[in-house]
Amino acid sequence: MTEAAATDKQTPKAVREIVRRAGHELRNALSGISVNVEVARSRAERGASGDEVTSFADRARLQVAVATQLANGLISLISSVLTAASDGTLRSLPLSGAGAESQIELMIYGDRAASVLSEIERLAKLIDVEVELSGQRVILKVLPEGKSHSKV
Amino acid sequence: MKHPKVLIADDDRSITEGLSAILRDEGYDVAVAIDGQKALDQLGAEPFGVVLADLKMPKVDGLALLKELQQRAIPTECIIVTGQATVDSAVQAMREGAYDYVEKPLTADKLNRLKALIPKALEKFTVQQKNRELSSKLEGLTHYGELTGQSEEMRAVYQIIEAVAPSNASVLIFGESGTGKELVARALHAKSERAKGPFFALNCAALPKDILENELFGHEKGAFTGSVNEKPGAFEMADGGTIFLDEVAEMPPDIQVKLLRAIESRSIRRLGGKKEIDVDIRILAATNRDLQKALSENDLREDLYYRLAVVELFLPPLRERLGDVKLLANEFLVRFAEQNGKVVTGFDDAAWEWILSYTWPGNVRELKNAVERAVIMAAGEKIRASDIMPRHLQRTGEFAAAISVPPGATLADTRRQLVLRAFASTNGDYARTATIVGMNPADVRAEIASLLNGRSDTATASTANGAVRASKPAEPAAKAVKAPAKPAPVKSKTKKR
Repeated sequence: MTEAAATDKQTPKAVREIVRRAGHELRNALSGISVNVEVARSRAERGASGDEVTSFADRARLQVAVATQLANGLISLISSVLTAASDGTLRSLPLSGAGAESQIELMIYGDRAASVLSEIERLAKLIDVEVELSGQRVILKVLPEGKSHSKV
Repeated sequence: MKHPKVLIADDDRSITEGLSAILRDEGYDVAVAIDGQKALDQLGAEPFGVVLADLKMPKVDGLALLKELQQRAIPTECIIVTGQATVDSAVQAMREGAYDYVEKPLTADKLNRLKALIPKALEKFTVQQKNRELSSKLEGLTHYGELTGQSEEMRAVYQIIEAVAPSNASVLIFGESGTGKELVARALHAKSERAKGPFFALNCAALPKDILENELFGHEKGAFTGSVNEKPGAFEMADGGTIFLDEVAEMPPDIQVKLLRAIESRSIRRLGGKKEIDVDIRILAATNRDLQKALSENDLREDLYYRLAVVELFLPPLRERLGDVKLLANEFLVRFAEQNGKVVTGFDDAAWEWILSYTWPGNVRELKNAVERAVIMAAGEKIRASDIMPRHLQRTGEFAAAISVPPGATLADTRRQLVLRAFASTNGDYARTATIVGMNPADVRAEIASLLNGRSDTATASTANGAVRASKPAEPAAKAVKAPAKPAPVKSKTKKR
């Protein structure tokens, strides 16, 4: 699913919002990588001390980890959403007054279910989405932004 | 060179720390705010030339930050950094006054673009900051050098002088006779680094060709019959200072060629002389001629014009800055009363009515002479209309025939002028004035009262000659027009350009 497809009104609001937020965070992480690599490069070029170069390289490495989490989580989520949409287990849930802006329920099953779920949970933490599990059923609640926002 | 400070407003530490390091390496003094509210607090506490604001931040986002900056009139240039997939919000940011925007991710290309944007934004900030400082310095100013005036038009003239004086650029001053062109030239000299050097003024229209040439370039002993001694010219005498060539369009063509050569080579040759003499001068020139006409008729060489008019400055006629008439009249009154040892304390109402309704075709010089004459003629402590009104106008009443409506004048300005003119023409008869202008007598009284209370803030005009015009920036450049109030035309000097 592309970002453009995610803006399609046919796609559940919660999915669209998750893709938007993940895209935003991914761009932030890529910016962090780019900016810190640039500093490390320029410092190394002018012969700065190892510590000085390392601290920026470390920051870039951390951002690579964040970008990886976001990318893996997004891939897992979209694959699961597409599967659930095709087997009819994807549905938007009415708001229950728990503070969510939107929510969806989908079934995640198969051999890689545990790994996929773990990646979705890691993504969820980075973009203010709450994950509720009930057997193979997974509920994703999109919270107002900033509620669980934590940046590296 | 120390740059003004840059503030990075972003809640992502990996970006702020990396970006800070990059900008510090570029020589900027950088501060960081981790959310929009903190950015606002910092911007309120100290000046920042540029803010790099993330569009999406906790508490106050980039757009809200922009709006707050506008509302609180905090001067800075804002570059929005956006991680949003669409450019809609960035476009909205531009509408809200952002200097520019850069989309994330900040790849090497985007970083380079950001690095290129910052000095441009800082330059804009610095220029605007200087203008703000200058405006606030000039606000309420009634005198500038030997110039007098507190109108918006004159403040704009002062602002141009401030900006241009420190440079070595030639300035061509346009303005009707009596507007104070030489005073502007003196102010330009006084505010320049050449202030300690000589200021040499020469009226090119007042001297015959041979004498003018001699005055400008000097001569060697024996250069012509009767030249028993060598004599340095204005260029040599103004060396290290400023030379002011008044009425430059009246200069004979062959002297214009010599002048052009002197300006280009920064050296002159005396009449009868063989050696080149280097001169270090700044040239200021003035004219009241219609320059387009002078150029098309070859009265002024085009190449000389371009040399002289690096900066053009238009000095508004007095009728376009009526707000200054009272200030000038009072000042001249005090000066001439003191000089003549007379106890004259002011003008009576009728005199003021006449002063404020007259178009002053001879400008400040005419007003000055009129007040001097009136002080001398005054029999009592107050100057009356008959003391100050020129005799030829007293006989013919011509002054009442026309009003000047400059482009940019409001309906209120025009109505005020019409009322005043009619009022003066009826010798202060409110009822007759009301009949003439088709107004209620009470409204006529209110209009006159408002003028006498100092609300004579007439509108401004602009010039079609392309000169740096001391007027509101939004005003169009166009010729001043004369609108006859009565059928009988008045012969007054109209602006030619």
